[in-house]
Amino acid sequence: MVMEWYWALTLLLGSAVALLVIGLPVAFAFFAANIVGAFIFLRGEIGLSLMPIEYALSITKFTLVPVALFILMGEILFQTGVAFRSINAIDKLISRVPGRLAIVSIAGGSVFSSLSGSTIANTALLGNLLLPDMLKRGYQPTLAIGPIMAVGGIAMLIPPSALAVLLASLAERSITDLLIAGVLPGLMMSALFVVYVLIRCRLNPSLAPQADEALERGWVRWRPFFVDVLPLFIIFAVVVGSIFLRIAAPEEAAALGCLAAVAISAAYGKLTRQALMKALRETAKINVMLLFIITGSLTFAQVLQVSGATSGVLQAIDAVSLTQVSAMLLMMLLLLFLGCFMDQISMILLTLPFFLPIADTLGMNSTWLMVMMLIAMEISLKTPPFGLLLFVMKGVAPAHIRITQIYQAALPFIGLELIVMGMVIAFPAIALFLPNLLR
Amino acid sequence: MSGFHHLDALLGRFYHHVGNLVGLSLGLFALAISLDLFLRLFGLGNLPGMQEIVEYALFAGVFLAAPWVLRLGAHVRVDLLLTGLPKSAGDALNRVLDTIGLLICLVLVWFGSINLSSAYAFNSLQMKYFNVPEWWLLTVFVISFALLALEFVCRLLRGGDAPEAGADEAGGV
Repeated sequence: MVMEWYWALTLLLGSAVALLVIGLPVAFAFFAANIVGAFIFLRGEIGLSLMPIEYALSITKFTLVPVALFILMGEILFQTGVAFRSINAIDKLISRVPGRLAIVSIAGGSVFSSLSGSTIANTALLGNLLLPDMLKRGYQPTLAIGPIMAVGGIAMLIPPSALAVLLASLAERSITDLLIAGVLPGLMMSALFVVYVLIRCRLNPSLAPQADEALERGWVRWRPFFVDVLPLFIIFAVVVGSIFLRIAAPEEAAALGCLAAVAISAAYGKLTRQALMKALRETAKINVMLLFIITGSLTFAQVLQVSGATSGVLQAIDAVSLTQVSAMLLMMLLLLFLGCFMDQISMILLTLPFFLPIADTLGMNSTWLMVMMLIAMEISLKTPPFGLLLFVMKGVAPAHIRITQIYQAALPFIGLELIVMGMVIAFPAIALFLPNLLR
Repeated sequence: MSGFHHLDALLGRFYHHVGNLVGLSLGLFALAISLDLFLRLFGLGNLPGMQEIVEYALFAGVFLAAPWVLRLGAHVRVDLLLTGLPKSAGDALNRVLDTIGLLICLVLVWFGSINLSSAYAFNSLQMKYFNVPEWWLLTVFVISFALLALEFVCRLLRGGDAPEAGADEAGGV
C-alpha cells in the first residue's frame, strides 16, 4: 500500500507507543505494530507468513551472548554475598570526610559497576546495604538516596554493561569500542558526584551528621580492602583487560568474567549450589525478558524502512540542513523526553532505526552517538515521574520515604549527568579517546 | 482442586524446570566459550561449531522460556496507566491487555505454522557450520507462541501474574 511517509510513521510508531502506554508488555506491543505494518506494507498475508523466521533469526546471534553473561557476573557476586563484603570493606576505608556514607555509596557503586552489567542490581545492592544505615545516622533522605540512584546508573556506562552490548549489537557496530568508550564518561560522573556531595556537606554539615565512630587504623582498617575488594578487580581486569589487549572478543571476555566471578566466590567460601542456581535463574529471567523484546526489533526496523518512514524522516532532516551537533542535541532531547515515561529497551528500539541512518548521513561517529544514547538512557533511569531506578529505590527504601523525596533526591544528580552529557557533546574525545587508543 | 488450578499448578512446575534449564544453559555457554578461547590461545584448535550451537541454544532458550517470564509477570511493561487507575479499572484493563496479548499470539501461531509448513515443504536451510532446517527453528517459534497463548488464557482465568517465592529485586539491566 502506498502511504505518505508521515502517515506511515504515525501509524507504526503510534500503534507501538499507544500499546506501550496502556501497559501491554513491550515485546507484544512491537509484535502488534509489526503485524499491522507487515499487513499494510509487506503485501498482507505474504509478509506476515515470512515474519516468523525473521523473529527466530533476529536473536540467533553470538554477539548477544555477553548480555546474559555480563548480567550473570553481577548476579553471582550479588547472590553469593561477595558484593556486600566489598561495600563493607570500602565503608571501613573511607573516613573523616563530609557525607562519608554517601561517598562510600558512590565509591562502592563505582566498584560494583565494574563487576556487574546491571544498573538495577547495583542500585538494589547499595540501597539494601547503605540506605538504612544512612537514615539511621540522621542523613537527610535526599542526600542518602540521591548518590545511590546516581551511581547505580553508572553500571550502564562502565563495562561490563549489558545494555551497551545490546545497543551495539542491534546497531551492528563494534561492541568493544562502545564498552571501552563508556569508561571515561562513567568515571567523570563518579568524580562529579563525589565533588557535589563533599561541597554540599561542607556547606551544610547537618545534611550528613558526622558520627563519633572509633576510627580503625593501620592493617585493621586496610585489611578488608585488600581481602574483600582488591581481588574483585581480577574480574574487571579479566574482562576489560582481555578486550583491551585483544586477547578475547567481548563474548569471550564475558565468559571469562563469569568464571572469574565463580572462582572468586568459591575462594571466599561463599559459593553454594543454591546461590549459583539462583544467579543462573535470575539471569535467565532477565535475559529472556530482554532478548524477547529484541526479536521484534529487526522486523520493526524493516517495516519502517519498507513503509518509507525511515527515508522520509531522513529527507526531512536533510532539508533543514542539521549539523552533527544540532542533530545530536535533537536526538538527546527526544531520548530525554521519552525517558520520562518509557523503559530503556523501548527507547532503543523506537529510536535506533532513525538515529543510525541520521548519524551515517551526517558522517557522525556511531560510537560517539551510542555513548550519548547510553548517557541519555542513564539519565532517564532517574527522570521523574517514571524513571526505573526511582521505583527500585522506593522498593528498597523504608516505607516512610515518599516518592516525592526520591524525585527530589534525583534532581541534582540529573543536573550533574547533564553536565557530563554536554561535555561529551562538546568534546567527543572524552568518549572516543580510549577506543582510538585501542586501534 | 478445579481442572484449571490443576493445569495451572502443572504448568508452574513445568516452567520452574524450564527456568532451571535455561539458567544452566547460560552457565554452559560461559564454560564452552572459555574452553574454546583457552584451546585457541594454547594452539590446541577450537570447539568446532560451538558458536553456532550457542546461538541456537540462545534462541531456543529465549523463546521457550518466554511463557515462564510472562507467568512471573516479568516482561517489561510501561505501567504508568495501570498504576494510576483504581483497582477495579486496573483489573479490567489488565484483562483487556491479556486478551490483546492472546490475539497477538494466536496470529503469530497461525502465520508461524504457515511459515513452518512452507519451510518443511521447501526444506529451507540455515547454512553455516551446520545445516539447520528452518522448520526446526519455526517449530520452536510455534510452540513458544502456543504456550504464550495458553499462558495469556491462564492469566485471564487466574487474574494476573503467578510470581515465584523468593524472587529478588535486583533483576533487570
